Amino acid sequence: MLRIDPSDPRPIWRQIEDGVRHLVARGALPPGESVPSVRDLARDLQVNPATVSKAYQRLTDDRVLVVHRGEGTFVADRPPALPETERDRLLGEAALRYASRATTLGAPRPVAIGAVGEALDELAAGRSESPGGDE
Amino acid sequence: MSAFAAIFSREFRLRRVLLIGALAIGLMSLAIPRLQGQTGAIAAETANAAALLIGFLTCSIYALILGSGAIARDLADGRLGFDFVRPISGLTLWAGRIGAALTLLSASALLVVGPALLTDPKGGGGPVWAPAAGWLPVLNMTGAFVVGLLSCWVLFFLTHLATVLFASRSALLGLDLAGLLAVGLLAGSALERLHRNWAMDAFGVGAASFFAFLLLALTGASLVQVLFGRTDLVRSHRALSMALWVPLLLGAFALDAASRWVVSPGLSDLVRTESVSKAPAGTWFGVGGDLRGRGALAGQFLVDAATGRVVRQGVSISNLTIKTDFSNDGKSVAWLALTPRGTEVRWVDLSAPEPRVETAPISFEGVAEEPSLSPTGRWLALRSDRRMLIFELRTGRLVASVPVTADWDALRTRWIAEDRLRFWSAEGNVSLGGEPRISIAETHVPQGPGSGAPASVGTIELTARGYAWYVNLDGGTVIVRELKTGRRRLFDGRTGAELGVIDAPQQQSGAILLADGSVAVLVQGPKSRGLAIYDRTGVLRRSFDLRSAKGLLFGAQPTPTTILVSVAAEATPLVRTARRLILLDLATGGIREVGRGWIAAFEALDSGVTVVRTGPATFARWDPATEMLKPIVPR
Amino acid sequence: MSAPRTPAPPLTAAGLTVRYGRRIALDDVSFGVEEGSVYALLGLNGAGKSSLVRCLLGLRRPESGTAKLFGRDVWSHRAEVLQEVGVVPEEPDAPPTLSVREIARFSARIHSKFDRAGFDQRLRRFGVPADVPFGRLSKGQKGQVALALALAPAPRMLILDDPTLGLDAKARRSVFEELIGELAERGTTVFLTTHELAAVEGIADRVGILRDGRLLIDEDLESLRGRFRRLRFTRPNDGEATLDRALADLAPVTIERRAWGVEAIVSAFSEERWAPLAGRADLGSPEVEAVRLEDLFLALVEPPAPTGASVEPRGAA
Repeated sequence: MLRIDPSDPRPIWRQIEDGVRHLVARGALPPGESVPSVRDLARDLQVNPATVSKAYQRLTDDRVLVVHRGEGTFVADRPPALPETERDRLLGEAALRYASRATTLGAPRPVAIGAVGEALDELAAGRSESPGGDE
Repeated sequence: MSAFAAIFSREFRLRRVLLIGALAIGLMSLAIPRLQGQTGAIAAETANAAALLIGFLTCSIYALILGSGAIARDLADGRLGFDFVRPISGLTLWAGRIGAALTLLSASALLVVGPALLTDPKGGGGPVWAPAAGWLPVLNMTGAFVVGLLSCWVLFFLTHLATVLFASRSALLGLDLAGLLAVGLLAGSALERLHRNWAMDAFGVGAASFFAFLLLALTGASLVQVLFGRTDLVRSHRALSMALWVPLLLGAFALDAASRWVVSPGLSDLVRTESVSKAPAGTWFGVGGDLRGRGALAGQFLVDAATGRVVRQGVSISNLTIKTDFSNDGKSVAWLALTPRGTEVRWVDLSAPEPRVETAPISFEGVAEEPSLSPTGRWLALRSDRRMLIFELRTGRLVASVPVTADWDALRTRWIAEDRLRFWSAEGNVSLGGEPRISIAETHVPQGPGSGAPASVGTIELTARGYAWYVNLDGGTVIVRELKTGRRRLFDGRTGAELGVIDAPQQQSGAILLADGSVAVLVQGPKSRGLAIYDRTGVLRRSFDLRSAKGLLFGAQPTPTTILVSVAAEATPLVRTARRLILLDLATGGIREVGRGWIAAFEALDSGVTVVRTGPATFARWDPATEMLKPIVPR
Repeated sequence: MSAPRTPAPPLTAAGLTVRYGRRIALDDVSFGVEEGSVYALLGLNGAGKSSLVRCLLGLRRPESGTAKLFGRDVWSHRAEVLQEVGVVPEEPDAPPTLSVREIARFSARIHSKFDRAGFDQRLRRFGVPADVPFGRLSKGQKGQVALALALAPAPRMLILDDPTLGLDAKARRSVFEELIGELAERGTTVFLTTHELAAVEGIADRVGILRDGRLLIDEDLESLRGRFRRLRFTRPNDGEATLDRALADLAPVTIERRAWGVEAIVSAFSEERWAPLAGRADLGSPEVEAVRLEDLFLALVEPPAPTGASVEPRGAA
């Protein structure tokens, strides 16, 4: 499900955060599904629980995940309802990161934009295939 | 506290099999006398001895096992870290491990010896051990056990020490060996010094103290090692060595200094004078007595009454006076020193600017007594076995060996001249057989080849068996007192011819031959007390009436015409009772009190300086010119 | 009114210097470990790790400098300080004839609190028998017992000296799982030395790299991963001088020729500095990759430091 890639220069908490986002976005983790506890995920990935905790905190802050006290952590029932300005800001930040990446890879603009579209398609396809399907 | 208990019980339980072994061995030792068929008290004594011996052997082996196993082996193998990475302080760790080991050791010793002790009818009080008779105290069962156990404790720590030292493979080992050598040599030479000077009490105290100090130093050093070396083997070695050798060296130095102090007393260390001897001429005299703070050790000194200079003759066992002989010219003095290696002749040249004790290169077989120097001190005569041996003092050359047939008690000798020795031997006296007579013989010194027994020169014929007799210093007069009648007879010392008779009243209590041959007789009757002076032929020259005097004692003849006597306050005074000095003038008959003190010695003849003892260990000189006592201040 | 005191950090090393005769084992080493974090100390054999650990455990007094745990000097307050510290030494040793059960009983008496039930559970999880004499356990089992003993008193900090040395993969994994469980439950501070760089990569918050007695690196892992990159240039260039000049801004640590081109590890990577180089045709199409901790470590400790190159981040990234 989730894997940490040591060759990936992103911080581990980011990889976990992005990984979870990806799974949620793809529908592999449907709304209401429980996610592993911090401890279990840390043991599984062999990473510091504090790292997992940080990722989960950010996801919870962004309302991708919700914590039900006493029961555990779950995928939020619906995508976070953010005010448009907030949504656009976050989107802009993510876009800038992507754009920098594309630029430093030397990709021409149409190719970069095309890749975004393909990714969105892939996610949509995944979501429609099966809820909670495996990798 | 719980950490200590945890370590202690862990270490104890790890090795508790040792206790079982000890108990088995203990029961075995009980069986030994039974096996030999002994019963009763003998069986108990055998069991005691066997138990102690086996116990000591077992304890020693256990000490070796535990000594290396308690800390050292774990340190060397790197296993000490287990305890050190836990919240256990260094002190707790050390106390727990060492405590468990020593407890096991002591408990094992008790288990081995216990059965014998329990069945001992004397309950541990019976004497068992008298090592090196006289040098160390006799120990009873309990004492022997304690000493044996403490020795095993020392062995325990020594094993620990050795294990650490050798396991670390550090070059420090060289320093350790050097330290061991230094301490051993220092302490050993200190004890040997005490031994050869017969300082038995000091030896015992010194040996016991150093042993106790050794145990303390070993214990402390092992603790320092754990506190500072921790798990590092080399650093542990370093800490252990520093903490051990520094105190031990200091202790050995202290022991050495103490031993030197014991055998090098000064005159001021005399607490009580036991003996005084005086030179026939000159101003030197010898003093001996018990010493302060040195147990049963006596010191003997030579003092120059004129200058106060002191030469220490040496120390000896108390009650054993070193017999000292001055030459007639007062310039030499010799004595015999008893050492564990044998008897040595020591002498001093009193006329030297810095008089020193020399050892004469004289050797002889067996026992020797009664040293006697020739008038100038060139020859020394010694009685040995059945011979009179005469040596040249400075070279040790034997110049004469005179066979003597009479018993030593019945023999007197005097140097007549530098080359002649005269012998008087009594016969027919009390238990001696033969007719009552005194034979007079002479021998030349050095003896030529072929000469043997001394040549006879005269005889003193006596009538009564049972007599006391004395020869004066130059051998010219012999005085004989017939025990039955109290009559005193004077004879010529060479020919034996009778010179005169003193038929003094019965109350007389002593006669003294004066330097010129006349006789002073003490008269101590119920009513009359005094001194009567007779000349050589027995004619009364003068008498002094000391009616009020009690405890009259003859003292000295400082000049040809004066005599000093002392009297006490009571009729039968103790030795310590204070005495008054009375000066008697032979020329005028005058009697005068001149001071307080004891006239040293009761020798029959005094010459040279008159020494008066003014206190337990203080002296003064009688100055005839001023007729005053001048204190002698030792330099 | 005095300000409230900040609690003392779990571990502080200041100017630690250790000498063996003339050889310098540690040269002025200073670093700290924050509460609840995991610090991994890396170094080749002989770099000074053992000396450092001995100083931290109060087994060796440094020639100069101090080692403090929870604000107290370890050498002089060792027993006190170790009440709150669990230690797993490199070669876990215990009296070989005592069984694990007896060792646990002993440890329980030493510590003020000791979770005996938890200890037994761990042993069961590890599969270590309780009644076998310690000396007869395998190396892996000994290590597991040591870890269980260290965790039972619920320490505030764990110090582990190469805890996975000689363990097979299964035992290794179980050790890290226990550690992670401990971290999750109680936020224990962890200081460990290791050769197992791949496994530690996920767990460590901060990394120290010791080389010839000096602390070359003392940095958060995230920051390290952020500024180190592996660059691959497929087109062979005519002179390494060109590459040297080109990469100068990025502080290259190693530049090595390969069959297919040149590979460089740089230590001052940033998107801005890289951008101009990304499109250069004369360098071929370069690939950028993160550097795994193992490779980062090897790059720093094995070759002599290339002249002109530094491992410090130049200015703000």
